[in-house]
Amino acid sequence: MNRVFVSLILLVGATVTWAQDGVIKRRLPPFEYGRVIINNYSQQAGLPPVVFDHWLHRSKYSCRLCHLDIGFSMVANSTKIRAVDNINGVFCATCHNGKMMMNGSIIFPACAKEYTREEYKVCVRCHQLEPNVTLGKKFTSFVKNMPVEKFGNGINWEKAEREGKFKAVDHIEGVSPTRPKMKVPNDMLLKANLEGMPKVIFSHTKHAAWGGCKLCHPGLFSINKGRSVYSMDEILEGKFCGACHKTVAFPLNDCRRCHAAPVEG
Amino acid sequence: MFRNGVTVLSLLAMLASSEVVSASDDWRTELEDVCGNTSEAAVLSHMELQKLIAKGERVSKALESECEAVRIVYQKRVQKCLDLYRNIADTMQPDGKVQPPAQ
Repeated sequence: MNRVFVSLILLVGATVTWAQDGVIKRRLPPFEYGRVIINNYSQQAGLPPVVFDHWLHRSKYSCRLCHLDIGFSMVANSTKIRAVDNINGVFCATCHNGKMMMNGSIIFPACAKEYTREEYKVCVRCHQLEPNVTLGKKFTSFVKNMPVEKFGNGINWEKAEREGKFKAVDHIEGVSPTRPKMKVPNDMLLKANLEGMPKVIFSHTKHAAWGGCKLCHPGLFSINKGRSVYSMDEILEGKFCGACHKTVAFPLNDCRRCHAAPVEG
Repeated sequence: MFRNGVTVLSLLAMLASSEVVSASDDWRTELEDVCGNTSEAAVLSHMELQKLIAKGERVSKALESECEAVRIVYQKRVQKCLDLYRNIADTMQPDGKVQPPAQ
């Protein structure tokens, strides 16, 4: 009986769009999942907001490279990136400096004090006036070779990396600290509050590979086992696991990716 | 005589500029020390953690005199490292034993 009940919950969770905060939200198309619209100062400067697609960047760089080494906050629009910061070589311009190479190409530069009509075409690669068709096509061809997933970007990123489909850069010379080999704690079994709900198998190895320690500790979770007690409601509000799994990493309606332990009894 | 004077002055200027470079690079070296240990933070002793925290606080102070662009990025980075060490140190007794979780 319990199993039927739990299966029903999982089925409902997997098929119904989450209705949080009393608002029914549409399920984002895979291309848009993880997208952030950055609009702290753009419009004041007479430019459209920046459209940042996580899928494009996470296919090339680890989470901690951007969120720890370069200093982007994990909450949308809270970094408050200014053009002057990019001109001074930080944030986006750490890589987008017109010098750094990626896959044999120079990464286009971000922001300038003055720009010509021709250079404005570079501005609108981020400050998008209209949907970027080229990027859409790029996504379609990128997804073709990736292991399929039902939710989020439609890509099983973890499997993709394991199978060598992409290799995330984790170090930038002169920016990233030296990273000695990490002593990763063992996987953990987390008990669910709902009776009959499978326990969560939490893998430190999988998370630390992209995030290191500091991305989660102690900001999201205290380092001490048992000190972080949280509910699914809080996760759905974007706290704890929800900080990433509501926005960028595989979404919360993919229940079985976390609640994966065999049901007892 | 004049040429010798210029040489001495140039040497002094070079020494002075190298001082400036090394002073401004000090915090970078210390930051590397501080944040380069986070991956093994869980196995460090209470005393080692305290030393890293003190070093991190020195870096944080040194950053206050840096230009804004450097300050905003590196202050945040050193803060993340400090937060991690403080959190681990808080869960430990000074003898290195981990406190049981609060009920």
